[in-house]
Amino acid sequence: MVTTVGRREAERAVRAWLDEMHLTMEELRAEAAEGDFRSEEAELAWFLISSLDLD
Amino acid sequence: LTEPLDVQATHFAVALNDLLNRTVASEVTLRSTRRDDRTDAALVGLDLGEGIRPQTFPVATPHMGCLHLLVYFAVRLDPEGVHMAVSKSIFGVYGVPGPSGGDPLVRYDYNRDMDGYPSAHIQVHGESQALGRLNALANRTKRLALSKLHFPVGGKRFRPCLEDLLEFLIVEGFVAPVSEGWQAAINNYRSTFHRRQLLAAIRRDPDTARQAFAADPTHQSSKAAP
Repeated sequence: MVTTVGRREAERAVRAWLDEMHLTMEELRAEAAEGDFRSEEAELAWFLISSLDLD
Repeated sequence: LTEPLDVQATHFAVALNDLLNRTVASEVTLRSTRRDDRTDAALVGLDLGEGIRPQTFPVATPHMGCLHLLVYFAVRLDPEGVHMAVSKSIFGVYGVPGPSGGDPLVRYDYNRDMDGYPSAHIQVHGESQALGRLNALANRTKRLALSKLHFPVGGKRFRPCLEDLLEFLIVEGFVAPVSEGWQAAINNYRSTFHRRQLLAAIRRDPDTARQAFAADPTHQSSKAAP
């Protein structure tokens, strides 16, 4: 069985998550490029975002 | 006949559930999740929870309460559009429900498109006196932390698999196996992983495979036999 998530719903959820971490997508992208994330949670967020092509 | 990614990813999730529930977990159900507008990429793991965030699941430990595992695979079809390939994976061992709750003990990461760091690496969260001394001697403006180091492990084809991590947790006494058949389950699924990786390596480098066959006297004699 496959679960689907709507793109807009996923983007909204990601924005809310980043807001909670006081982090912008640009900052997260920069941390990903450096391979040096400010926190475990930020690294997990990037994994999810890049896996679902929400970046 | 090529199976759609949805089908291949679902089979993969079913196999992972069987592995996990015969080794370290009880009634864990990983599934394939994808965007409703994309059929070429999916995430295999626990259902993303409230706010679409990765989730951990508990595993029983004999002496120290609970550990929590994070297991996700990002999957896509290979460049030929035939075989499902793992583009990224992440396995984490947490002391508390993570990942928001704290740092893991260890994380096994794989990202086939990683630039600058090994595509397969382990990150260990802990303190190192040796690293502390090196930081002091080098008078670094930015101190190296053990958890920020990406220890290389085997590369794209020969990286550690989930089965290796589960075996590590059991043999080191972190986790009590949930069935007597845990080692057989790990061995079987790990063999499947190794065979799949070897097939992929052969597909990408058939000349080396031919050289190996040509140099193998056993293979030569079995070919010559009637």
